[in-house]
Amino acid sequence: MSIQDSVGVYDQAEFADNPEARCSIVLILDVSGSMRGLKIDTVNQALVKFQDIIREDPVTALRADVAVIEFDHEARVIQDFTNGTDFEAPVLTVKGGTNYSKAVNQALDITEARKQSYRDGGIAYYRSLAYFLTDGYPEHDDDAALAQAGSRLADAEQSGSIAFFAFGISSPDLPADMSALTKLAPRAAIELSSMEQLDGSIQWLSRSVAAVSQSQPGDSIRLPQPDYLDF
Amino acid sequence: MASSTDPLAGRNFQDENGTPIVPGEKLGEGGEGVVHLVDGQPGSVMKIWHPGRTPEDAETKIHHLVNNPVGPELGETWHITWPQHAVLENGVIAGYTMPILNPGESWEPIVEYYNRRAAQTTGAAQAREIRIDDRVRMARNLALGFRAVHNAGYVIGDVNEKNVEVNRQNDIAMVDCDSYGFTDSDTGRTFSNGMGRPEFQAPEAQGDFANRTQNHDLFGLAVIIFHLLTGYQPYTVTNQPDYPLPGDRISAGLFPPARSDVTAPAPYDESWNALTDRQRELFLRCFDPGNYSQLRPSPEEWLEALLEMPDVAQPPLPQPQPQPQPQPTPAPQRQPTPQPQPRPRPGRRFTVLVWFLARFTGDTPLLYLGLAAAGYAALIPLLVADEFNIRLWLALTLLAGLLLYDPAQKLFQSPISGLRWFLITVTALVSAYFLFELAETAISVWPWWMWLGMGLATGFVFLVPARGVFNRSNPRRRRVAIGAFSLVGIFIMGSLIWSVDRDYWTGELGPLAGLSQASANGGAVAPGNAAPAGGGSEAASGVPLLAAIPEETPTPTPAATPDIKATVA
Repeated sequence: MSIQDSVGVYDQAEFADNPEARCSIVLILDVSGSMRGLKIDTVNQALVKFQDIIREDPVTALRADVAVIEFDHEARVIQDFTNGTDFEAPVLTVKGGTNYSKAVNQALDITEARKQSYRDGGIAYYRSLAYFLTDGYPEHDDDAALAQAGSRLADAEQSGSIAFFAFGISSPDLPADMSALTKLAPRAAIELSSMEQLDGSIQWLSRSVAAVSQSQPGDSIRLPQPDYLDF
Repeated sequence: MASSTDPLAGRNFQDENGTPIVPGEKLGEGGEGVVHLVDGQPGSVMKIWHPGRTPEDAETKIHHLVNNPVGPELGETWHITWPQHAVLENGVIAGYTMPILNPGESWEPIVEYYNRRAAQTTGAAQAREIRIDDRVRMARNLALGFRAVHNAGYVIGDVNEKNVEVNRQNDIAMVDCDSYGFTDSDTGRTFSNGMGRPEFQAPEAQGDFANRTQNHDLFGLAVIIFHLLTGYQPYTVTNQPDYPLPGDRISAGLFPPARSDVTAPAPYDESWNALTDRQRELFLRCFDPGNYSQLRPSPEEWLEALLEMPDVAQPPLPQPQPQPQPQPTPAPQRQPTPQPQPRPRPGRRFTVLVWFLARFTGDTPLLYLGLAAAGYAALIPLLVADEFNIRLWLALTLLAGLLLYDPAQKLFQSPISGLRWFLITVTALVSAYFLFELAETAISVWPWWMWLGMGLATGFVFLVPARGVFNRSNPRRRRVAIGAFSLVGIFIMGSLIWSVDRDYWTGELGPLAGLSQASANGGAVAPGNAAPAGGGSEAASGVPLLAAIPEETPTPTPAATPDIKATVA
């Protein structure tokens, strides 16, 4: 656990400088070969907009902790939780096959570790947001691993610790296979059928993050209307 | 987003009196509406609501706000963007105008002044070091603002760290005033704003932000003041995993200083212990769940409690050395920006001299005492000299200034204890003695332009403390201070004028030196007398000043007199 320990020390210094309540966001993005071209370009551009929207409001920037996981047949944390004041959109490039469960497990692992350091630092926090995007089918997953990741997610949703939004991006030549996503995600998975909708969904995510620093009519944070399908 | 189309293009607006209001440059756009400059009215901006976003009964509301304004008293350093005029479109209310905050002063949300991370990255506080006395001053200004708004009968409601802005002088500005709650006496209609941010809302308002009162506002005021003084949200708890949400922590009353079963991070406890007794007492009255039913501390009480500084000379929180970011699986494509190292603070406000000397003597009070003594000693030659040598004067006063700077900084560093007050008094008396002595010896040997320069310089130096005195919130203290300072000023001016000889004005050193020569000539300025009279008047005009002052006290040259006589003759 030496890595965890050093994370802890680093975090506590960070929390001393910025004790604002946190909303952790993890983006879990498919970089399998089929994402090549327009799709990955759209994602990269949308991430830059995401960064700009988060930074536009000083309080949103202070409250957002963003991590990015990319996955093909493996899952990699390409950006561990970074405060919105520091977050810079990564540039994704496509690689190999597709495996959902590793990515989901890793996302849940780092989110839980992050929340533990919030608790250690006395920092208040909101429900985590997870944004999952894929265009394919998890050919590298076996059913048992997928089911196990799915039940872990369901528990996390149930306990209110995470809100997991799964998106499948379809193109005319390659429609998204929503069946595997439906097995995985506790909430209804959403099919995006154009690049505009894909872009819109990431913008919706950034506005959801901004909701934690805006005045609300009650003590619950309301996410903005999911308007991305209107694009 | 491509919002290049101007929603106000082609629309006509007037104020209540029918005067056209022409939108100028666009300043911003939010969820409620757009904000533009007003053409031909520098100092005003207009807010126009988006179609369909005009608040309910907006006409009555804006009418009431415009006719019942709130603003700072003369000399108070807080601002408010209060609605000035309703803006009508075809007779229907569409928005309002309000004063603009001076854009040259770089206003930023107050969060950027108490959250160090924000200060490092967003730039508001980068231009200067934000010290505890700056934050205390912001807190006082904020309390002044709340007091005035409450005295006028309004409820702020949505108190948060973005509705309060701060400029480089620690002035605060309250913005978004059209959301304030009140009861309109003409129509009996009650306006309230149901919006809020849980972390600034009182426990009894959590979950339902309607029907808030001024007592609710006072909770939000205390939260912001707590942020300013400690750098923390009051309900920062480490051992309550079931309460992650800020609002839930307030409802459950998880205020660590009030409860033995709730723990906080160590730096939080240090900041809390650094507060004065009175400040702690007020915070406990507000945040201790045992006191939740009590009336919360008023702005007046805060103003009094904020006269004293918390005992924070260093930044309140320790800064552990950042560890290298652990490398997650393969190498990240872009390294996260490393946390900027905390800047070394000790000694920042002192000169190189102290830094250098402290290497031999250590940073002890004796060092400062020695420097102070050396500073005063440097002035002694000026007291005993009865000749005026400008180079010596400048050299010794500058040297004394350099030597006295560090002890003075040290003396006035917060917290100011009883012993400090005593030392300050003694130093003030010694300094006053030296000043008077210097003035006395100077009186006969300074040329008039030196007096003029010194007078202007002194005036400039006194601007800062004078501004402070005139800004005191407590009117009685303020009047006493102004009275006392006026008396001292009159005394100094009087004794200076008294001790100056009447002949000084027309004498060798006086500004009217040329005139005296001329009148000695019986008013006749003959071309021939220019040369001999030149010796006296050259010093006061044309020639470079340093060169013109003789090293020796100029004595009227007896030789000149016969010349003049000769010319006249």
